[in-house]
Amino acid sequence: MKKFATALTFAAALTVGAAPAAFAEDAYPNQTINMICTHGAGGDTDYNTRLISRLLEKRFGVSVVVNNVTGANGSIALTQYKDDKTDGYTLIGTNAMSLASNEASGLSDFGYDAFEVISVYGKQCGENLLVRADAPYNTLEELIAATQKEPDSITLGVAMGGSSYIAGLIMQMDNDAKFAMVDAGGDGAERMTSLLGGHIDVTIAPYTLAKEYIESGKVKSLCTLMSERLPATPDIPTAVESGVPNLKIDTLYVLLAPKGTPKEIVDKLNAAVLDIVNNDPEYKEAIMNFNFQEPYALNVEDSIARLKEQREHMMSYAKYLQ
Amino acid sequence: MLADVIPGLMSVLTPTVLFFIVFGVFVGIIFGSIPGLTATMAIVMFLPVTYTMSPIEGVSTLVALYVGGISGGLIAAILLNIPGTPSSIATTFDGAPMARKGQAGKALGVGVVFSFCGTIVGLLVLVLVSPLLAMFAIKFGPYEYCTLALFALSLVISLTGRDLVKGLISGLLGVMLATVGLAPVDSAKRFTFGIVDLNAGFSLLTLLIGLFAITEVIKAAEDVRKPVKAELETNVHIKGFGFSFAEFWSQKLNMIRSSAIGIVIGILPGIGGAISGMLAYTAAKNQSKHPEKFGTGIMDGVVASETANNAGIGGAMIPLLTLGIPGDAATAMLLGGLMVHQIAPGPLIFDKSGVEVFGIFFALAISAVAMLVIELFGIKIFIRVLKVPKYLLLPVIMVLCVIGAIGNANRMFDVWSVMVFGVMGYLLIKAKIPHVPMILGFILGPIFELNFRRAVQHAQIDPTGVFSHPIAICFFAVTIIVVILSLRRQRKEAALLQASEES
Amino acid sequence: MNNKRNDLITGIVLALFALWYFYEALSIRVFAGMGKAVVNSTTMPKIWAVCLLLLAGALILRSLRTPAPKGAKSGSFSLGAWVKANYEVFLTFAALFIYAALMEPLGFIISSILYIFAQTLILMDKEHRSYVKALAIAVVCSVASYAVFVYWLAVLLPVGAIFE
Repeated sequence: MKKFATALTFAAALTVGAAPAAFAEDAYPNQTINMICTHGAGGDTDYNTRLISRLLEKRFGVSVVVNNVTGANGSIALTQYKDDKTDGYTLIGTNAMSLASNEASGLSDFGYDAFEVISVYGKQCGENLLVRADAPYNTLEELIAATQKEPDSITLGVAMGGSSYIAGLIMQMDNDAKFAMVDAGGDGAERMTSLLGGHIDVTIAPYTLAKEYIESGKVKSLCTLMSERLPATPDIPTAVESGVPNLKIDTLYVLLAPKGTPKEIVDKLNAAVLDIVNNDPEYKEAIMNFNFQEPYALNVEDSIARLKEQREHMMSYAKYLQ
Repeated sequence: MLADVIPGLMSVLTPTVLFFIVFGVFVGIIFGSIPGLTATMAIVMFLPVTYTMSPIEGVSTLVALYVGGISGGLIAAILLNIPGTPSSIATTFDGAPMARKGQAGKALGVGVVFSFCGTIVGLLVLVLVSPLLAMFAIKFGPYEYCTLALFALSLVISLTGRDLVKGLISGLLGVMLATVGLAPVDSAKRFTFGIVDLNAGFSLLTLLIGLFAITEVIKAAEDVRKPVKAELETNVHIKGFGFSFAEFWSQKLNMIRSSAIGIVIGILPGIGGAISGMLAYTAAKNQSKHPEKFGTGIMDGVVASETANNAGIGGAMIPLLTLGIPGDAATAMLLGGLMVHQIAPGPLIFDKSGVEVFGIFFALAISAVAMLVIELFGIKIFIRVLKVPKYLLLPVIMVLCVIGAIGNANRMFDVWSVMVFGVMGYLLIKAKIPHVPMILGFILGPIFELNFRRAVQHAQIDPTGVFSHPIAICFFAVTIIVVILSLRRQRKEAALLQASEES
Repeated sequence: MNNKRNDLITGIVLALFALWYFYEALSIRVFAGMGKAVVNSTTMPKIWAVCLLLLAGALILRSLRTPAPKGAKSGSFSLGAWVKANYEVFLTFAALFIYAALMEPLGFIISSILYIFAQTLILMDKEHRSYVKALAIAVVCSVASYAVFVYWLAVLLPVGAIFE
């Protein structure tokens, strides 16, 4: 398995069109790449990691084996592998929200800068602010006005310390909303169920989970928390448009390498990822079907800038998270 | 909707799908029967493979792995006294004593047949009334879960044996072990002492291996120099199912009750097969005419546990398909498997993916049949395990347990936890503290705490809110009654045991 | 060891554990966002600790009240004597911990071969003892399980630091 078609690798390197100058990196990759996924099998992070791994495998002609090292919102795997071997054969697939929120909440004491960033290569279809269909408010403005009329009585179900909680904080602080925030579970599906069962009045859950309930007329989406409208749902406004300018939560999927991995390897991987995301029709179809994602990938500099921006956004709420 | 039944059936009746189902059940049984490897792990390992299959192939394979894995646990539970998966803990209570009495074949036969019955009852309920039951499931909020967990915790009293104080201690130790790691609700780090690996807490699997598998090795080690007892003649050549139709028929009430328990616990996310097996076992014991025989090796115990844990499969599929909420780790993987194949669980699943849904139902039914056939034929092979000397069998099982511990989350930390739990298990035996309440506490403690804290949050917003939750009030009342009754029963039993020991 | 003393020691150990657990629970950092909540992450652990303390107390009291059984040995416990009487148990635990410790440096295959070999010999009674059999099983099972789990199921079993 290990010595797998060096010739193929060369061919792959040529088609990628990013042949680096250094000699040693020409041969990369010529053995099995271990991809560590920080979240459990079956979830969106896992799916994205596995999809990109499978396509990288095709491109490079070496095996890319995904292993899920799970626990504590990905922080176990990130801690364990951040100082792993820097030969480019150990890579980490995670989502940037976990990376940033773990640091902000003190779960881990490092951020994206403890790694070499290969690429931000995907963007989740976005969290939506949801209420039951029979709720009297149709926009975020109306909802916030309603909470101000009757403070602390409209319950917002969140995952304490998670991104939904931060969304709640932003509304409370910037727009003086008066929700009664309660814990309704770290899993979006759990929060959806609480909403449907009438245990909470408002919640935040990914569009993928809410879609069926929106279509069947059980639930309304007041807005998406993404920075831009989702192309698949042009009717759902963003929170920014609805008057909460700081409420932007994008869940980004990101590939990392242990700190100190040579720049040539990182660049080569980034070029391959960008090519797959932007040009591979199989990739485009798969992420659309799975999660309503649009192709979205950044080069190394932009990826780092994006992660930095997200980290700063999260850290500005750190004192409410610890 | 009914128009989808036939295409659903046809989609499953292709050679490839049938092959994948039989293969899945077979692999599932192997994973289930080897202590340390679980149904969940089988699904985790095969999930990526199914990503590239066609929807019905992929989902059928996963369902087959699930059915095989849950049922396979009974084999190790009966033959080795080590639960192969958490769901089969209660199967050891009477299954292992039956094997010691030389009735291993019968115990396996009973376990297999009632696993099948449980699966089918669960499936029927799933097919016929799932939308209704899904409505029931969403009515369960913090108050309901909190009181339900309390109710299930009261099982400790019934499962404790003669020493109530030690039973309660064991349950509490389990609850306390489960507090290590990130707290429910706010993810505060508790008892982690700055060790990163402790942030994720201990996994049930490692506790199970430590308490049940290592202690079996230790028992064998203690017996090395003891004079060999007369070799028990085990009837290897069983006929048919290993038990008579009259015996089967005598279990009908037990089967219905256990199925109902399994389905209800299955529907409610997050509780799991281990609890439903134990709940059904205690219910069977408490309503039996001869409760004192439970634990000595009677088929009623095996029937209750195996029917309930398999009925839970159908139960767990209900919220999975109609609401998109997974009931346990295994169904969480199934959810991923469905989403990958664009079968979106939710209220519209019958309209949008009707063919696939009926395909899943048929796949489940075929898996149940495959499980029945494979295991019945397998009994003759499994039972030979008893002929293999312990000194050859147990070391290999330990290695497989270690693989299971590593595979659980791909880290060495879990191997160390297994070893430490093994020492703890040994010390508990020496202190005469039972193991089973600890597992109960470990599973239920976090569920109770999470929902208790949520309930308090809700109560702070609306102090009278609790009165609009009749289910919760009912559970609370029932818990109090059950505690009083089982305390009285426990006292009586302890006195009887005391008397029989002294005479 | 008789029941009375057994329970007494168990009770004392558990009581000490409960006290330590309570003490540790005091230092859990409470989430700032939970300002108004009456129940936080320290509440339940404290309650569990108090319950355990009460039960341990009950155990201690009970053992003090039971009369010592007649003719019970009152000899003191010595680790040496225990190891002598239970050396298979002691060796088994030793083998398990050494196995876990060797796993990363030597890799899964070698450490498993060593463990199965040692454990089989520990559990074999004198008349069945066969080094060849033990070694054969150790090698076959370790290599086979490594092959199945690593190559087929992609589990990350340790390769061994010495091979890198």
